[in-house]
Amino acid sequence: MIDDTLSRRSVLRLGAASALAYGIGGALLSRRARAAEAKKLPAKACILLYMEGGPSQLDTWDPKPGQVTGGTFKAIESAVSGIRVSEHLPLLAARMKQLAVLRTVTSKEGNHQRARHLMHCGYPPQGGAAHPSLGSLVAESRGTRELPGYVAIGGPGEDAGLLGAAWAPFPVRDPGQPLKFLQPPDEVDEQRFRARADLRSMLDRNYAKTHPLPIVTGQLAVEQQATAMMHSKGVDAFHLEKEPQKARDAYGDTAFGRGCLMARRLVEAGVPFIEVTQRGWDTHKDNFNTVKNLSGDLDRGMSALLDDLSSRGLLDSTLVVWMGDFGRTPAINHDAGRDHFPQISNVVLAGAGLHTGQVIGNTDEEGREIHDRPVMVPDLFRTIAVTMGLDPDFVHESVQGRPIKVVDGGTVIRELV
Amino acid sequence: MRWILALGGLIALALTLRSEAAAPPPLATDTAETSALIDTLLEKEWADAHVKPAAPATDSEYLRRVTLDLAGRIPSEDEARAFLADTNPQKRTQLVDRLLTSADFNRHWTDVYMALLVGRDLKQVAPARQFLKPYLENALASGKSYKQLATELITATGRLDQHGEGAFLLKQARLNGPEGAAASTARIFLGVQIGCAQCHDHPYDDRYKQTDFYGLTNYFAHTRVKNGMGEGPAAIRIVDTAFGDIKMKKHDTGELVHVPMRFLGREASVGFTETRREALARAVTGSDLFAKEAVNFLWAQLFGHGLVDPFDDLGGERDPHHPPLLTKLAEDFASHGYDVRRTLRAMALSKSYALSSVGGEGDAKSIDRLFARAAVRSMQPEQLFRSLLTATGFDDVIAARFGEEEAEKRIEQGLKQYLFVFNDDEMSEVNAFNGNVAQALVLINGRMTNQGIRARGGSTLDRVMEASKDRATRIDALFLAAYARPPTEDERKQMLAYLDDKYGSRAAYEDVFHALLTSTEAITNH
Repeated sequence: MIDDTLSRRSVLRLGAASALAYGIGGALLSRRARAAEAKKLPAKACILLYMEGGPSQLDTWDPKPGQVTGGTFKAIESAVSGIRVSEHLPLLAARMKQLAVLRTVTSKEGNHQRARHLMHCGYPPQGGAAHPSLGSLVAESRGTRELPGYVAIGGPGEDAGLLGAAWAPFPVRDPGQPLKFLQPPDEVDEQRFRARADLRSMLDRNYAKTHPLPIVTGQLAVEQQATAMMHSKGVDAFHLEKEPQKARDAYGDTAFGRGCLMARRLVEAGVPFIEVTQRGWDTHKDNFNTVKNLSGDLDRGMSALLDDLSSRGLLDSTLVVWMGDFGRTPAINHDAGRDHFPQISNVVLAGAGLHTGQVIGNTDEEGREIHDRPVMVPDLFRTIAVTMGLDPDFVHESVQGRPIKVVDGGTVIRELV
Repeated sequence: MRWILALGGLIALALTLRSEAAAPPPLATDTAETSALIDTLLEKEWADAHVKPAAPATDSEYLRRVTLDLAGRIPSEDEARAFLADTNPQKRTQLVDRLLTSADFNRHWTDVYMALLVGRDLKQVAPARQFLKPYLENALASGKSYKQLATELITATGRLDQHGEGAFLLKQARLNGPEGAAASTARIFLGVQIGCAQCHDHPYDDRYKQTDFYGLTNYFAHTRVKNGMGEGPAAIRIVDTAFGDIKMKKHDTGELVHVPMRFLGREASVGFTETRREALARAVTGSDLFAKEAVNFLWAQLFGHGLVDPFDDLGGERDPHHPPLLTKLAEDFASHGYDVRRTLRAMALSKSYALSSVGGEGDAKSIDRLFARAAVRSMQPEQLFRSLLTATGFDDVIAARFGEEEAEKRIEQGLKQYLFVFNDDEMSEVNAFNGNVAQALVLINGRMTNQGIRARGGSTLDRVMEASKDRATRIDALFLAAYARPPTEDERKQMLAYLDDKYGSRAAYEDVFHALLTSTEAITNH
């Protein structure tokens, strides 16, 4: 779907390939010709499956059974020979050909708030620099549409920082509940609603003339988006009851399953970035029971999502990212739990024409250290940016005038693209 | 003579400010010198940066801004009318004094300090709302010194229902343990971002190493939270034992190491009869950063951003980069009993606070950075909520129907509904109604605006319709209620055209009022 409202700035940020994909050519292209990086068309949408709390890698994607650090889970073979995962992810194991498992992502941030910021923005928090989240960057690059460009299901997402409130995540607290406030109250019919909108526009335009500031002009954009959303047919995507029972069963009758289903519907409705949060991964205590339960919902929801995207021909144009705050300690504590371990975490990618069916990076026998191929967070973000058609080196300016690049250096993970 | 006039004004306004203030503390009014200091030092900054400030704010602009900043709501239609008509040259001073001694002041600044201390995530802070809120309301109403407040918050001991201040540490420790308590204490009371150094030496400030973080954390090492044992959150207790030490896990080797107590790079001292937390409170309130952070926060609330920005990142003790104005205001604060109201009075009555939000000459970034014009800012969610209540008169309607006490409860419930669209992020500068799509939908389609404007039984619209049959007069009244100013010629004409087109039906007035209340001018603080 070509969005005519893309601004010139957005085009530059999209990079050459995306500009081609979105049908804009000529003089603008030649300024940002990066043909080497732009071999494929960029993905249209990204679904981020965010495991809040920090998911234990040794009990999911990088099992070490029989080792003192291995814990109580067994490992099972996947559809790709040589790759084994936790016994509690059988459905995903069977779909390993569609997955790329990064076993050696590493960072220094072991505090939840700092880690969340890092894994959503590609930067640790720095006072005075309002880094935009990945979701907001993608939303802003696609421009104004009928539905919000960044939808956050089951969790708050991360804000748009210097990009402004127009690109903030649209929260869906509970995908099982109907969205509120999409309709005016009964006594306000369409005509009255329009009349009010017109009066408000008049007032806002006057105010913007005397107060020409981003916070004010930004409000006009937000209001347009809100009104567009109310009148868009795409809003149906939020109504899970319109989905046949069979599909709802496939994803599982869980908050996470419903979130994944909604994400698929939103991709179909043209939303470019959807984040689905699964809470509860901060397993300082009772790690194994908790992870087992979470794995059940995860396994079902995520595999149904992959199947669905695939059968609808959407997988090649949708990037799926699985990640969390950080990894967890190989050492098991006296509460049968694992603690924060930012040194090694796992990220799993699917879709968008990436080279899947592989593991990238290996840890040692007990999972205490990276054996080879560490992946830094900027590497991951540069890869995601390029896949989504963002220009990773585009420079924004913070409120204090500091230059902030979209991605903080890093190298594209060649094994994936 | 002036006192009688002031008293008359006070009574007149008590009719519109629904509840009376709790026994107000004697208001410190010796702030003229401090206001002058603010103006002199800022003028110097402007001269150095070659910027000229904006023109002074009009009465409308000033009234609305200072009422929002001190009382957490816009002025009512009656307040606006009275203030604009008042010819007394002292009216701004009298206004500020009224606001500082109002119940709304206590309510608003409780909201402000709650957000600072425990954030807004409703799920996380239920016990905090239940116990910390009344504690703060009481502290503000009784004019407790900020030094005393901080001391009580840091050293809170005993049951929550008897020591509501304990809910602060409870919330901070709940997610991140004593490390969380240490990081938050440093950030909130000292403006030191030492939390960054929990997992590694501070990324960009080499004053703080991991050992400094753990040295600070060890002040909390003896403190335990004891659960309610079936009695519920009221019985949660904070106690101090005589043992316990937090070990630091060395980032590179993973080795656990004992770290002695340290306070911002200095060796710590614990007096013979004091607990560790008492020693910490003493160290915190004795640091120059304490008054500076307190004042910087107040400045950010009134001027849109701190003298040091972000407001909670002051760097280090006696940092030579601290602006002279910050240092002087901090000294003034400390030498006058750490009196929050007094410092707010000095700020609110300075010329620099009373500038227009448009204009100024010179580089736009410098104008904004150096406060050469007033900032246009988003409201805090509670401010917007209370403003809509005031503008629609919905609070009067509920009070008339249910009585004051029940009305308070219902208002608190309604407020919670509004807060659900705001996520919590204590690291961010200020949670604001910054107008994203979800918030816009709540505003335009939610009950507060729609039900509020329609309500019968003493609402603003009721009163406006009754007060005059003239359409233009009614339009002016609605503008005063929503904007604290009359309409321009053009605005009045356009609104009249709409009303005439709809034969002046009540529904048409509702539409006009709704558009006013949901417009950008109404939902921003300028």
